[in-house]
Amino acid sequence: MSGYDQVPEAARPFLGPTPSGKPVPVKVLRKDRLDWKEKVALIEIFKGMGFTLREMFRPRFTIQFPEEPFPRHPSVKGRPVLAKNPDGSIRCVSCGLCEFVCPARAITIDPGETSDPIQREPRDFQIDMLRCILCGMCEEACPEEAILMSDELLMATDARPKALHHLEDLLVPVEKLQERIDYTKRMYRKWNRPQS
Amino acid sequence: MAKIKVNGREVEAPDGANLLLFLNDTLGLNIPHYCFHPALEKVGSCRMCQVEFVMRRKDPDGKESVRRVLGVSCRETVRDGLEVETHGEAARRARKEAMEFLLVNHPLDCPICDKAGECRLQDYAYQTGQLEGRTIEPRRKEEKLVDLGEVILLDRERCILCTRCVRFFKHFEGRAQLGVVERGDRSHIAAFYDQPLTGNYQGNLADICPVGALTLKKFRFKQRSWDLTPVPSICPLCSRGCNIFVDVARHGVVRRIRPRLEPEVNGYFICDQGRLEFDDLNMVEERLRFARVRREGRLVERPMEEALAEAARLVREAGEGLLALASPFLTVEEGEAFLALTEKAGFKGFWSPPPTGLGDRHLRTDDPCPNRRGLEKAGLQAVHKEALAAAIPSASLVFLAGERILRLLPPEVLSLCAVKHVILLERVLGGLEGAVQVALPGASWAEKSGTFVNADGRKQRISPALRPPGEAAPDGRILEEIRRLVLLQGSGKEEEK
Ligand code: SF4
Ligand code: SF4
Ligand code: SF4
Repeated sequence: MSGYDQVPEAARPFLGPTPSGKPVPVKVLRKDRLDWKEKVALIEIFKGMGFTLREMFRPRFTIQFPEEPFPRHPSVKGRPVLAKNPDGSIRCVSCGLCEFVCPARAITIDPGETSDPIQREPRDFQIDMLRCILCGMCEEACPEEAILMSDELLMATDARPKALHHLEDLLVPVEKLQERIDYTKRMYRKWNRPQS
Repeated sequence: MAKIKVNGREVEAPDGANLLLFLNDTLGLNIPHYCFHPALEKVGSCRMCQVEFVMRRKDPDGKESVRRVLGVSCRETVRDGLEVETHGEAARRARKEAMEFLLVNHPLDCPICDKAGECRLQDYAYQTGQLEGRTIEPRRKEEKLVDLGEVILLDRERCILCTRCVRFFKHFEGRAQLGVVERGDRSHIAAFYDQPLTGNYQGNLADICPVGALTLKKFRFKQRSWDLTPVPSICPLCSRGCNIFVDVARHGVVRRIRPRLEPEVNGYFICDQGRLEFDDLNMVEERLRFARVRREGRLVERPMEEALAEAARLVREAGEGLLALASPFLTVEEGEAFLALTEKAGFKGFWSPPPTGLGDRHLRTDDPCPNRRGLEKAGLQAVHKEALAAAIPSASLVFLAGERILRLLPPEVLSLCAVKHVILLERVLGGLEGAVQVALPGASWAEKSGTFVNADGRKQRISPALRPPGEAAPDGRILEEIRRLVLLQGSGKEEEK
């Protein structure tokens, strides 16, 4: 017996000619001829034109991106940014929790001292947007509501160094983030209910 | 051995041992404590180690009566018939209450506190499970940044008045420098007459303080403790050989050095030089990353193989005229490799720097060689200045090997070397650029493994905490490779190829 017989029947055509040299008989299971309706094709054409005609009188929902912004819900997780207080101070105290929790290791913090009562603020804060996976773990870890996922989704650049965002690129006035803060507060309260 | 009963179970315990230490270290019960430290006098003031003592007594009429009292376990010694309940309702509650009182005025500083992650207050707060404050009164405001001299900062808000720091100076150093001033809720820690702290052991306060009240200036805000990887090693700054942890941050930077418990050498402490003088481990710019060889009068960067072959050729050609000097920082293994390589040398040994005068009656010794005993045992002789100065002029080639050799050699000796041909195995080029024929990039003590033998003859292991940069490699590897090439060239195999 040859090995040919041990191959399941359905797979035999893939093996080429049979050991005896005869071609393998092939049975096609699909329909392989068009019927007359399909040959004419007119019906389908009219169907398609009818659809186009209908759509012409519908309101347009295409957005002229990127000039026209599209509406975003606060649950969108965009580029992580740092909140700046109304008095210009940085909220972040460079506690390093986000740096530690970041699964992509995108964050690097250089902690520094300030004369403020909070004593500590970042001298530099780098997020490598080539690494960041927008998971939002940093936001969840932050005890100061300082790092937040903004709704900015346009992060493409034409040069690698530009993808490394520094402190000055990351600071955003806290008013702009208020919606996200409220949303996360609400959600975290819901998710992190103490186990009773 | 005494028979005691812990939580209803009979156990044997060494007679006279400290009860808290026995419960925690031997039975692993993890009873919290702040004011207790095994190296200090016991005061029992934080009340965190309270357990229930069960006392049984036979009354005259034959009936047995049982009395249960709460007490601190840190001041109790193990003796026959002792019976304690550590995790009963009463003991648990007592500890929880003590904890809550400690936290009444404690600030919520953890995100900015250097102790976070290794803070006992955090640990036990989680353990006892009282995660929210129940007070409505405003928290006490205290001075948050008190300068206690060159090494230590004090944050009075975080202090829990365990008085470990006070006792440390009194009992370890024998000279009190800190005290608790005022009384009641106004008590706080202060230095006498507000003088800056002195002495060579101040850094230990940062380890001894169970919370973040005393912190190192040098470590301030540098790194969060959970980002550090501790690597066990040996301090190379004196011949005591204190056991240490080298704490390395994520990006391969040494951030901190702290003591590692070793009762036979240094106990719980190390000196401030050992703790603070680690900056040269992080040196970047001056560091030799690639080998350099003199070509047409100039030192140029060449691949390691070429430099090694060149060094081997020079060593072989010099023969008797070789003067080989090792640094006292070489490990035992490297000393042996060095000795094997310089078999034929006319003069060899390891440099023995003069006593530093920094020694004291605690840990620090006068001898700055971490491995004098080890190198002597390997067969290398200690070399002093006079002998060296006399030998250099007649040598045809000088081989200087090992970390810090350029820094440890006195300038007179270096200027004698500067007119010779020199092979240098170091991390920096130092002032010998004009004389060096081959410069091989070596490694620091934190980048290699090996054995140091301390002043008492105790063999101790160092382990690599960092990776040497570029083509730099541990000195031992380089020495062995040169030796292999010397033998290869000597047997004529090189020419045949
Ligand atoms: S969103 Fe996720 S990946 Fe991006 S910086 Fe935050 S933690 Fe890191
Ligand atoms: S977790 Fe928040 S406060 Fe801490 S370093 Fe990150 S952004 Fe700053
Ligand atoms: S001492 Fe401990 S509990 Fe207090 S702020 Fe520092 S880390 Fe937090």
